[in-house]
Amino acid sequence: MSAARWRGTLIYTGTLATIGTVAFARFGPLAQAEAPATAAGASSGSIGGAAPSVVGAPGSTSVAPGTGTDGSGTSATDPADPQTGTPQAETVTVVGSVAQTRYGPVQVQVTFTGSRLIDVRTLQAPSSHPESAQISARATPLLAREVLAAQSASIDTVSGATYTSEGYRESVQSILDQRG
Amino acid sequence: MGTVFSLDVRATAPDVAARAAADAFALLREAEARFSPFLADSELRRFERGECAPSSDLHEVLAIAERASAASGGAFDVRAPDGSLDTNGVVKGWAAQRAADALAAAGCGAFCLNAGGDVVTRGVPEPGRGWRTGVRDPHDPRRMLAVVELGDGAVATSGVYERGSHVWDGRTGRPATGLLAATVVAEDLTTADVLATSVLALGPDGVAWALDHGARDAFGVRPDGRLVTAARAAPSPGA
Repeated sequence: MSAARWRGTLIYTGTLATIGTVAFARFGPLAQAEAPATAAGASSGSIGGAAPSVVGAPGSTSVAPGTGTDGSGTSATDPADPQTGTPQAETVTVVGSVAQTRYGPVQVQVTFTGSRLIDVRTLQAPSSHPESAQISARATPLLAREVLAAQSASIDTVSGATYTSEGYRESVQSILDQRG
Repeated sequence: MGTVFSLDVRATAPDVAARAAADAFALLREAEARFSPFLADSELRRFERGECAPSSDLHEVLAIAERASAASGGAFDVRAPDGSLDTNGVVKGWAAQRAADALAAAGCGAFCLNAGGDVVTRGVPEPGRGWRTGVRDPHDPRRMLAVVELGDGAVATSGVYERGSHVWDGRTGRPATGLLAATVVAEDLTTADVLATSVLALGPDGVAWALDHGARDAFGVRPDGRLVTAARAAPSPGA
C-alpha cells in the first residue's frame, strides 16, 4: 500500500440489499509526483488479459484517448490545450490486441508523443488486405479510439454492470482499490 | 446481494476528505433504506401500499423514471413485469450523483466515485489528464473494451452479465436480450444511469437513441460480443 497515496480506507458492511454493502475510500494528497508510480503500478499486468506490448521509452505510457477526440466530447481534455505535465515528450508505440468489432477483427498500433496521439496504424482490418492508415488525431474514428483506449495500461476506475459482492472480488476495481 | 462503492479523492486535505466521504456514504445508505424494493418498510414499499404520500425525493425519482419512460417509448419502465414498483434503474445513479454533489459542496475538488460500476468524476486526478474509466468487457472482467477520460462527468454501464436479466423491456414485459451491456457517458450520473438502463431495454437501436437524449457518448455490446457504437461522426468503412 503506497503511503503517499492512501490516507484512509473506509469499509462499510451491512445488510443493504440493492446498492451498498462495502465502501472503499481513498484519499490522495495533492497529486503531483504520482504519475510515474501510477503508471508503474497499473501496468503490472493485473489489468487487461491481453497486455499491450509497449515499445519505446516507458517514461510516459499514459494513453490519453481523449486527446484524439473527434468532438463527441468524451473527454475534458481539449486537443488544443498545451501539453501539461509532460515536460519532455517521448514517443511510445502501443500494439493493441485484436478486438472483435461489428465490422470484424481489428488490431491497431498507436503511437503517442507524450499524451498526444500522433499515429494509428491498422494492423488487422476486416477487409482482407491489411492496410496501414495514417489517421490524424482529430480524425481518429470512434472505433479506433475505443480499441486503442482499451489497451491503456493506466485506469483509475472501472465501469461495468453492477457487480455482486462475488463479482467485485474478481474485478479490476477491487485491484485498484487494493493497490492504493 | 449488495455492491461496492469506491471513492478516490485527490487534492483535498485528508480530514476534509474523510468527513466528506463519511457524509457521502451516509447519503447513499439513506437512499438505499428509502428506495429499496427489497425492504418491506422502505419508503418505496410504503408508498406502493398507499401508506404514505411521496416525499419530494421519491417524487423526483419517479419523475426521472417517467421522463425516461416517455422518451424511450415505454421501453424503460419502473413497473416490473410483476406489477411492482422497482426504481433501481434510477435510484443508484441519482443517489450517487447526489453524493457526488455533496462531496463537491464539502470541498472535494477532485474525486472519482464508483457506485457499483457506475462512475461520477469531478476535477482531474493529476495535472494534465482526466479520470480514466475503463469499461469492462462483459466476457472478461480483466479486459477493458474502452477507456473514457473525463473531467466533470459520468459513465454508467448497465448489463445482464453480473446479475442476470434484471432489466426488462417495458414495451413487452420480457427480459431485455438485445444487448449484453450498454454504456453511456453524460454530464451527470443521474442521466447516464437512466440512459444506460434505457439503452439496455431498447436494444441495439438504443445506442443512437441515447445520443439524442443527453448522452455525450454511448455504446453497447451484443450477445455475440460485437460492439454497437454510435456512428455519429465516424466515417463509414466502405461497407
